[in-house]
Amino acid sequence: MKNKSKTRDSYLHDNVTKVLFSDHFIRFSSSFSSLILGILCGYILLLIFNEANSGLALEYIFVTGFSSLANVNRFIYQAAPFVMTSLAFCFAYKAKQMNLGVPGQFAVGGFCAIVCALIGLPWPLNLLFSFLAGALWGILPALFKVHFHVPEIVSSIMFDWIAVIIIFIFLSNMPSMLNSTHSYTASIAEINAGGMLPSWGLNNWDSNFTIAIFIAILFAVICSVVINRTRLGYEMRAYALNAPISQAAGISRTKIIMTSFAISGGLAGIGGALLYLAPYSIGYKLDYASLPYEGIIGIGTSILAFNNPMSCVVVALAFSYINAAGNRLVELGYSSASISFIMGSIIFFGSFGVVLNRWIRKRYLWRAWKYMVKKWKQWGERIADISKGQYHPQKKSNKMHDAIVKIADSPASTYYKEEEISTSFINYKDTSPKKKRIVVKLHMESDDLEDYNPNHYANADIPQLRRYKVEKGDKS
Amino acid sequence: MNFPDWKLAGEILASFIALSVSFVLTSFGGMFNRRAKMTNIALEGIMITGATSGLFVTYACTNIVSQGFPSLLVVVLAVLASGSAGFIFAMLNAIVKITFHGNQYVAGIAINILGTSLFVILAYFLIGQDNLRLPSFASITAETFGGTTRSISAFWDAFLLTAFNNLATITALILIPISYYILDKSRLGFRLKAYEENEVASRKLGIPIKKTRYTSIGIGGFIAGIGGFSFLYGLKAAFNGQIYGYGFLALAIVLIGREQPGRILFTSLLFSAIITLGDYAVQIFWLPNFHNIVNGDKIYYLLPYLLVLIVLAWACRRQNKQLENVKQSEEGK
Repeated sequence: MKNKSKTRDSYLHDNVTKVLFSDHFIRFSSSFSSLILGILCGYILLLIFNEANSGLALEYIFVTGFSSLANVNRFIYQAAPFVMTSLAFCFAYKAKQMNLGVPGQFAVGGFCAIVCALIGLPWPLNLLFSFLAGALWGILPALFKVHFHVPEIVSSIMFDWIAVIIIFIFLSNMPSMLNSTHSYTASIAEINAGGMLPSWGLNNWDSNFTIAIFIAILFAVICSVVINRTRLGYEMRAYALNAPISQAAGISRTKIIMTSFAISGGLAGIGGALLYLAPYSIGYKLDYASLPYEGIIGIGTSILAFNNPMSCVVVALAFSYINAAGNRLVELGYSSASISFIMGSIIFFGSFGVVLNRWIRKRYLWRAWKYMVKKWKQWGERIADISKGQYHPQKKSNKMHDAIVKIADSPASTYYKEEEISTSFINYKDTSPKKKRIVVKLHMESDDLEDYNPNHYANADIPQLRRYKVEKGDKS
Repeated sequence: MNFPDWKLAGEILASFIALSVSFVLTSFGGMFNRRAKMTNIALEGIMITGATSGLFVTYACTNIVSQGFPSLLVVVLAVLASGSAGFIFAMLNAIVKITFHGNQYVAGIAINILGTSLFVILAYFLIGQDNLRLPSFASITAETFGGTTRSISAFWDAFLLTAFNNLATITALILIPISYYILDKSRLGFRLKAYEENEVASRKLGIPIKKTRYTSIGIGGFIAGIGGFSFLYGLKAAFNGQIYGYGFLALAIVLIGREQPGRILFTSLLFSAIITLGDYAVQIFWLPNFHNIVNGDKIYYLLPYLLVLIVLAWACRRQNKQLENVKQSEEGK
């Protein structure tokens, strides 16, 4: 893609085009445009149902997160679980394993953290146990994949639902862990304050603030180091590129699948711990009919971040920024699900954002840019001529002349020499970027192209043309 | 308790048929998608949107029906609406997969989120509730045709009233032979087979591949949407936009049945039998009750998911052994 554009129009190789076609810019613009498109979709829905408040709702989504310090703090401390779940999906995807079991591992990790905290363990042990529990739950679909070749896309989803149902049964049999209404788990801050995540003085800043987001960023850094700088990460990337050849080179399939699934499950488990051990959470909801929301969103987050651990942090912050507007939309009279609709549409656009962006750029933006540069140069020359006093207005339009000038200007004319164009009959193939074959026949004697009738010249002597194929880039 | 309890038996059989109809329809839709090489995770979302649109069409027509509008026509409209909703959502996924070469799995997850949230938003704004029940006129009895219901026996009353009261059962009965015909005898089926064998060769021979894939995915989405609407008939509680992962189960059924209608029919019957047994386990005396455990009846909800894992492990092992043998023979050369 990149190389093609270089060879096609080498004369437009300035800095702007370099940036426009760089991978980083395409990725950034695709994520950004999918965010904007998703919010627009949500806005259309808001417009349909309540037109009066829709402007205010859009303002809440875009602006209010930055309006005060408390709002800024809110979306920062709520971002930690999103970061961890997106890291979890991203880590397994580096070895080309689709870990759709992130919600289940998230639930298992959160459950384990809550139980450990309510028993009376300190917070580092809670995090450790939630990591182990998530890793154990992540290994199960990997085992099915290694030994029985079950596609992990199906088996991991099945383990999601199994996890949710099992946790529901376990928690409903532990009345000491539940609150008075038996619909949520008991609050950890009242029973064991040492089990909560510490704030290390950050609660002077905001009462809900903990070290959760810093733990998440630390894990992101560790992940990027492991993926890019260690032997395991190298093997994972090699396995993702070509599984059979990497196996032939001595990389163990079992090891790669098991470790990638275990670590990603552990990361998701820590995400659950970071949510339920934080002071703002209301506890685990006893529900066997739906998967945890953070786990599902995390998959989309890592897709928008193009599976780069560091950019996962940025995208998760953006997601929690939008998510923080959810409660305010309810205050305006909108349904609580409208924010999840926006999230869903963002993820939907994110799943093909890069291809869409490349397509738009190739189809429209690239041509528009080319046209703009051409016009720019023409106007520049004309202005220079005027300043010298050499400007001559154009003559009355001669269609034949214009057509030949058009052919001579177009990049495809590199296939033919100038003498061919000036001969009486021209077979001219325009090879446009999409390789459409457009054959234009011209006749010098006729002034008007519209009068041209191919049957009239059917029996005329057509001179044999010698075609010179000139290499691309060389203009003769 | 009188033994044999014919009423209970009739109820169990009826709910088995209602559930199996929704499984058969959804997994046949998944099969059409899979023939076009798309593993459709969005089946769950398609089911939910199908149920949603059918439900709201019937709900919108309650006033008209009370004034004397034929209720059968309303149900036909609801089935068509649910099918077209499924068609639209399947097309969304197809555009991602075929035109833009995006990540179909993530798009499917996004569509699942969209489906649930759309139901909740619509229910909130149109009715002001979290959940909704099907109106009673949606089930077809003798009264819809102007007659009166006669009681035959306890078993037949319970069975016929809830099993064959919906159009979805009849659609499924018609649709199974039709899908056999489409896949094995029609031009579309042959084109899909050719595409499955070799994409490049079939394109060179002039098969419009994009068009065939889009049509087969569209047909699949339409069928799966009707499957979602038929799910409402088997539901005892009010619908709240959750479908308990049955869409994923349908996807697993497609994989287990290896994209062949007969096998898919058999496996979906098996799964719906197990789920209905789990639902009625408290009332069946020869099944363990788990009275000692709080919410012990939820243990039976685990059964279909565990069964998927076990059966897939068995099915995929055989498939991949053949593949591995091929690989070994290639290496030997």
